Amino acid sequence: MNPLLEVRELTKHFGGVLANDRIDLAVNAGELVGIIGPNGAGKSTLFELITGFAKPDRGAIRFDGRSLLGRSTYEINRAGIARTFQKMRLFLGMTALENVMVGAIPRMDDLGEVRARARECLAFVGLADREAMPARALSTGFRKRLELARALATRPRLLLLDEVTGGVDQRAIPALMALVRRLREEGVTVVAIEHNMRVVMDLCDRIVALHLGHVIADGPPAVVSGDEQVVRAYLGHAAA
Amino acid sequence: MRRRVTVATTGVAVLGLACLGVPFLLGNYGLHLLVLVSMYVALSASWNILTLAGQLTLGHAGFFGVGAYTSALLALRLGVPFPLGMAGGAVGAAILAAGVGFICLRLRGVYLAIATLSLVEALKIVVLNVPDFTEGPIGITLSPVFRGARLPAYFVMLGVAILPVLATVWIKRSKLHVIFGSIREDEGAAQMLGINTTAYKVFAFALSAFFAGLAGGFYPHYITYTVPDTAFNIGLSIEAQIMPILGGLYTVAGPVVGAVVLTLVGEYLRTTFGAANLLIYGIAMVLVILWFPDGLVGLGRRWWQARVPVPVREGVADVR
Repeated sequence: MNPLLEVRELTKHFGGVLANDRIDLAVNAGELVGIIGPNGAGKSTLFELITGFAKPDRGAIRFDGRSLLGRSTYEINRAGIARTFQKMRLFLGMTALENVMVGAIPRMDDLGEVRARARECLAFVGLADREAMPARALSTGFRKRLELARALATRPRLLLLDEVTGGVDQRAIPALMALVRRLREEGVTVVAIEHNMRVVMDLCDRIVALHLGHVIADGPPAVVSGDEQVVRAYLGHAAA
Repeated sequence: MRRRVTVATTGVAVLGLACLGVPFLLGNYGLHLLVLVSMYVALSASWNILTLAGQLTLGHAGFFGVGAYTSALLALRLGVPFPLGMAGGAVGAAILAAGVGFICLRLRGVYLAIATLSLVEALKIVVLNVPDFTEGPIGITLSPVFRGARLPAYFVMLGVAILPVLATVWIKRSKLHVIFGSIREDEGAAQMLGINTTAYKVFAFALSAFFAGLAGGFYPHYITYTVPDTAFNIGLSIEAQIMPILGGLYTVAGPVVGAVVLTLVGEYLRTTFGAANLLIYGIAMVLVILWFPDGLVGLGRRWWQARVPVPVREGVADVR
């Protein structure tokens, strides 16, 4: 069976910085893959390239067997990929419901249907009673949920999460993790960039570690977290 | 909620009756003012449409001028009657704007404003430089529409003014409300949700310019001439922007209120204070924008809510 997402030899320079250097990555349908790596490892760049926000210098990206190269972001979303952002990009002046409606609109014609679908997604993330609040008025934890709901409204097959627990109150993290697990149970394949090692170890089937634009490890959480190169990348040479 | 609807309905009914009834009581000067007010409502409301989609532009004088010249040239060269000329002007402006919108896709904020502002000058220079076709700086003289009768001319311009207002109401009630809002707030995020922002931005440009071109298409028939300096007058772009800001950005009523107030106040100052009028106008503008950033409509709404406590509707973008 072909992987749902297949990235080959993906390379991207920003000026003199090699942000992604011949990255290979395959994600099968139904997997929950974590991407780890120190700051500047190229994790977010990888997401930028997959979602068409930046153009790769070289390499291939295939989703469900079809190349995504040269396609615009909205087409990539319609193909079945949704994403949340590291620095959340909510429509702050719009209500929670309106935020989610945007994601539902390209897939349905009737405004009533759009609203109903948006309410479903809000309920899924536990924001049903806050639909009339402006996104601006929500706490960070709720904003993360709203971003998730918005991505879900597009009915993705693959969801890219960029630090879904970043900046969130420690107590709010278990609930967010439970949400990601439920998503996977609903049949969504998830790739999550995550800094919190406890979260990754707990949540993911497989971990991919990046360092300076390279994949330095790819395997089950227990193996990757013990990997000598990974430990060295995080803690420096002395620790290894 | 219900009270709010009643207020809006009553307001529209009163305004409608005033628009239809008052003109019969006015002389030529009063009617001329109403034609101007209507023209500015058309420009201001159509500019507001583009701004709803997050596109801050200063090209409305260009769209107006293309409408004016298309319509005037159709009349001059081919003897086309003014309603067809207006349609031609509107379509011409819309096509031009779609092209401009497409070329300026990557420009944001002030850069887009500068690019669209230079469009106005560029168009004027083009018109000036092909006098064999456009009559150059001398302009085009037309015979007065309705044999110079002001009342029917006013009703035509009133129709031109109502269309972009109705279009705004339609946008607010359709999916476009949320789509335009998302593009205004964060274009990249909107794309990531499957919105073809390019198509919607180009559409907003074309729709907005269509109404400006329609107003431009009628104006030369009304004042019986058009010259490059008045057709492509950057002042029009500025007013089309200031009026909705003063009245209340992103609202249906704001551009209308702003256009009515500024046209009438401007005329009063001009006739009363002579040369000092622009100074007073400018100072008043600055003060109003500083004190009431959500415009006269916002001011009125707050005043109303203080008097009649109703549950405040949450959601800034949903403000009508």
